[in-house]
Amino acid sequence: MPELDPIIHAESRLRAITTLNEVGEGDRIAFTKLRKILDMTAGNLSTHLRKLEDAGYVEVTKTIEGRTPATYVAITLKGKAAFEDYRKALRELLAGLS
Amino acid sequence: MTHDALDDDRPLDLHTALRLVKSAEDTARRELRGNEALQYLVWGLAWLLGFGTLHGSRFGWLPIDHEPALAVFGVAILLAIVVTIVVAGRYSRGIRGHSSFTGTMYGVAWALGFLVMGTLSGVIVGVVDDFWVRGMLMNGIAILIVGLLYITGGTTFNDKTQSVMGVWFLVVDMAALLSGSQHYLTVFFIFGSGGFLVAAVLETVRRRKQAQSNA
Repeated sequence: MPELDPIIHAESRLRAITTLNEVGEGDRIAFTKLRKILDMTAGNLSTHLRKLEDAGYVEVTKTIEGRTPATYVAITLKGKAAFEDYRKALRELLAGLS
Repeated sequence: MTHDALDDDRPLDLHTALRLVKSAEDTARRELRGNEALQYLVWGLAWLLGFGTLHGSRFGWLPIDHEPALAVFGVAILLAIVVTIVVAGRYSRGIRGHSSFTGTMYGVAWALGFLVMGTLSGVIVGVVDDFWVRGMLMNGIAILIVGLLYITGGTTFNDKTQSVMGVWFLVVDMAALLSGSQHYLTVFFIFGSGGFLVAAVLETVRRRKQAQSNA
């Protein structure tokens, strides 16, 4: 029986990692843009990103744009592999149900 | 609804999880890549209006002189360019990395290509007297740039439709040039504008099918 990665298998983190997986290869997305796409509050998104970051699934970088601090987020190779494994496990579990 | 609750560590139903993945993918693609069909529609309508006005002026089905017709064509193209730049700017904002480099260079290629074309047009005006032969030469070069950049744009951004459209524009351009200055505008008005409009419809159908398969 395949197991679902508990780091990914939670609504907000699943939506976040799915969205980050759609950002182009070698690209980073601004935290503010990601927040808008996911329709989440900054605090909530930060909390979930920290869990994904702790697992090594995303990389968060802080930079300065003009005079304003900006945060960018990207999925890591480990994150991409974990998301792919999650989707595979999900498909297998759903196939087992039918 | 803002997803504000921190209680979403609760167990997720399998079907709900699959639905969330698909809906997040749809939203992300829409927000990150935009709607190509809408862009094709904007350009299709701009060409329809621009080439249509020139065609009407040349063949007398519109009560408008050649010069004002050319001005209408110019304004239509300019408006489509503005819409394209605004839309592309909206989607590229907040993204850093590889695609911002390729996107910028792709934009530079368009700008430089048309700068060279504008310069060449100045030369053509100086040596060719006939208004319609001039137009055919200038448009022939412009579409060469459009076709090549659509093909490479498709390969750069992994968009097969865009590459196919590039091939189509080059084929139409060649056919229109071979038909001579008498028929150039007619061929281009129908098959050039038509190419964009057909692409807009096909892209819309493709998106709907994709959305239905995700539902």
